[in-house]
Amino acid sequence: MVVIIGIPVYPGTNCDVDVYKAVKLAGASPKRIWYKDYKEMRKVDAIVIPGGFSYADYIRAGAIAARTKMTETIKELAEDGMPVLGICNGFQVLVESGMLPGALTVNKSARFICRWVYLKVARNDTPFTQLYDEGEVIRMPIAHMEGRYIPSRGFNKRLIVLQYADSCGNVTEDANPNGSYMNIAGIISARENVLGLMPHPERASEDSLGGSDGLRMFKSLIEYLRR
Amino acid sequence: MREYIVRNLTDDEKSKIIKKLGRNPNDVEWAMIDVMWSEHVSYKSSRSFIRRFLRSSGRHVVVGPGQDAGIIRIADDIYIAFKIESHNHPSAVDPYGGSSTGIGGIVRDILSMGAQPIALLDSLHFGDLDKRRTWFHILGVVKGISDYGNRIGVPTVGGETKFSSCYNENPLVNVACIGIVNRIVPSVLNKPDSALVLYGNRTGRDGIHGVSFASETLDEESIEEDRSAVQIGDPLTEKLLIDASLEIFSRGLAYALKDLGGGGLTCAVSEMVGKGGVGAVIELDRVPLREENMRPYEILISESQERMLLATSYDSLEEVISILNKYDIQWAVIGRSIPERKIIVKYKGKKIVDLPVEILVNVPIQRHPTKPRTKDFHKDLKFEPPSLEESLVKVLRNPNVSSKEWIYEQYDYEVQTRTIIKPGADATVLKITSKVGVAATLDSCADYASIDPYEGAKGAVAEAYRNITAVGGEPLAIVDNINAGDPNNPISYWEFRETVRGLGNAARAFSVPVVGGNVSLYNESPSGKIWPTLVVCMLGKVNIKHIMTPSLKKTNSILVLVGDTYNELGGSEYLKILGLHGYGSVPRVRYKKEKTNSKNVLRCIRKGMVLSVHDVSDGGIITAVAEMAIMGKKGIEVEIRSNLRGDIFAFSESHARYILEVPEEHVEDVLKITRGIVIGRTSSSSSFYFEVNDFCVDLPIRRLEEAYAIRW
Repeated sequence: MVVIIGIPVYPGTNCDVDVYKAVKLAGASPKRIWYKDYKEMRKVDAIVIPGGFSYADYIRAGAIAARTKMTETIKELAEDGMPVLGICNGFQVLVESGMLPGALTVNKSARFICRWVYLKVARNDTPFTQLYDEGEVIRMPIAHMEGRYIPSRGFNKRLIVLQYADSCGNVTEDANPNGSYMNIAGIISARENVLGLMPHPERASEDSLGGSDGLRMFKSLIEYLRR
Repeated sequence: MREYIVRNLTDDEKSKIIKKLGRNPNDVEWAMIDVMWSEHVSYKSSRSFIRRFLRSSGRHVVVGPGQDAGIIRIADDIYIAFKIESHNHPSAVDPYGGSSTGIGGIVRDILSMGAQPIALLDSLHFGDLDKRRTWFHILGVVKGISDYGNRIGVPTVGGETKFSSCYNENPLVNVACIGIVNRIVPSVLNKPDSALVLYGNRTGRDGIHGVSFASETLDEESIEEDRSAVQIGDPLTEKLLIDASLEIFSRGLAYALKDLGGGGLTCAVSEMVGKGGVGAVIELDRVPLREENMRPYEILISESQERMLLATSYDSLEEVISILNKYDIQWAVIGRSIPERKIIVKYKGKKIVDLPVEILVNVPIQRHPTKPRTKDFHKDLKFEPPSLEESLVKVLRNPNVSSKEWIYEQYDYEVQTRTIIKPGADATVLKITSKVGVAATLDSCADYASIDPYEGAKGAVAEAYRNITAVGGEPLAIVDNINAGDPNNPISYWEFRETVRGLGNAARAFSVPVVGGNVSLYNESPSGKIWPTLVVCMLGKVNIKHIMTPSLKKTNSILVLVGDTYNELGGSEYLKILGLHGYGSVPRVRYKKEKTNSKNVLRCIRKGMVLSVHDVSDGGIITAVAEMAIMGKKGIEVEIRSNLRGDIFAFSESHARYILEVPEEHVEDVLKITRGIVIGRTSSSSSFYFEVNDFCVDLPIRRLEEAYAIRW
């Protein structure tokens, strides 16, 4: 079965081609869709919202993109159960559009940070992480200015899927690059079909680039869709 | 009151222009001539030396100097464009705006060749860290690069950051961009009756007089007054401009393309048609404006950012426009090319400019007197050395040497997923295909040039050559940026000449052609002039299977030193921490040794005989070994006997040297190939033991790491 993964492209999105390459490498058929062609999004099996700086992060990261017809369409599809993965700016769009709870704000250092980090896989019972072991330590790069996760009231800790950790998997303050609540790097929706994460799995999809732990996230999704 | 005040022309130049034209130019024409004859656009003071000393031919060269960027071939069908430019004056008065528009400009230069921008590197020179003004520069420049570069999705993958009091008032921001070319788009147009399409941002009043400002020295007033000469960047438009332009190229719709940079529309139009043998008619009313009531001369010389000038056929116009509309990019057909060699500008139904193209693009060379600087340094340097331990920690903490992670981690160096060797190594390596990569480095040796401009310029080329070698690359070509003082100052002009001569001779000796460059003069302020600073951007070709990094990989491997060490402490980091900068002889470039050692090191890398490689430069051998140990988190034991005094051997910055980490079984072969010497081994302990004659360091690696990884 050919799995088609839609990649929305907003003005200022810049990781769409990288996600395209990684999804292809993972074995699915990717499709980049310009934000004006949002109707095309209804023809895909799953959606990966890539990183970048949609609308240059004006107002707040992801705020303007969240109010486009493209994002409205994605929200409708997510409500119908379609898997949606948001990476970096994609995560910010998911939070801004209310598909995921909480907020992402400026890093504790108040600086942009590009760095390879270790992550602990807190849950492997999601469509996006089923090929990892629970508690496994994986490595991916982060690259963001606004990645500090702030929970909303009554936050359910069950939603945590990925946490910043040290190389042994200890979730420590030193291993927290941006000051996120509970070292959160990625959370899933209550319905478990929408995952947002700040690290870039597509940038960890080939050993020559520093690691391939991220590729398994796309493979997990594809395997889930094929089942 | 006159509308336009001429800033760049001498009385002699003015009378030449009037004579050539046979009449007095009107105000709008003066404005156009003035920007075209500015140093920044015309290179009038630098061209004669560049022609005399630089060679740009070579078997990899596809496009040499004269277009918006140089292009080289790295494999059968892989073409790489690259270019470097300075944004020094704008960054001095508005560091954030200056550096971000510097990025925007260089990216558009690469785009202008029909190339997809894939990487940025920057060479930054700042003043003393204990000055408030320096921090104003650093924070603004780094944030400007971060905010702009990250947003346009082009990774900032490397560069260098250096500090000296000579840059207190006049920091240097030199930015290089690399692109992959699928189909070359020329920046010159040779077809009459083509449509000229201006697309991107609207034209505003920002950046008026930008080129004139860059062609004068900085003074107290300029720091306040000339902020309006600095352009304002808009990275979102730039990103859309990149995407739309790449789509235009991929459909083969561009005859010629030029970005609007220094000199604005005037320069873009004149150079596009001027070098291609045609002319142009411009309808100025059609230019989309940001504000009302702009005067014609302002529209013609505004340096508003994110604008491109495209020449296309009238038949393709509809397709071009539909692409631009898709990306919500503002556009206007502002004119057409004509067979007559003239630039005609119409405004409100009147012809307001009618100039022969030659007057705008053929600017006579200006010669200035030169005067060699008297040698005020002492070759026979005598001092009592402090303990080696203390000196090593100080050198590692010195901001010229210490890790720049606090800077480069503010840049997205991963986007586009090509960065195989990340920032912090000798050079960066970018993946182009599954087999072929490009190694890139930016280097300067201004501290040597401050003592000897000629050897310093050669040194920058030699260091770049070694950095490319150290990652496993075959050095291919250079683009350069020369930063110097006021050409009217005979000593500054002599320094400039010596720099060009050094660059030219070294590039020729290494068979690495100079395919493009930039000159930034007038880097002087009331507190003095900068050191003549040549920044070399060198590219090399790598086989992805054989790449090297400097971090130590294993315990119990052997450390081999390749190359000879001389008593060459002049300009070194060691003398700087001792307060003795200016004394001693600077490292001499020995072409033959440099080439032989590079070739031999590459041979060892390709044969898979080495685990890591680091070139020896700032801080000498002891610093190079310390960096390898810190990056690889491995202990080392080194013992060396030398005829030189121990501290001199440890800190001398002689060129042509490398440290190799070699597994025991390959040591014999490596020594045979490189004629190197064994200096020690890596250990399973966590200590750094380095002994040379009766000098010794015995410290935990952690102590060195604390010094090296200092964050600001």
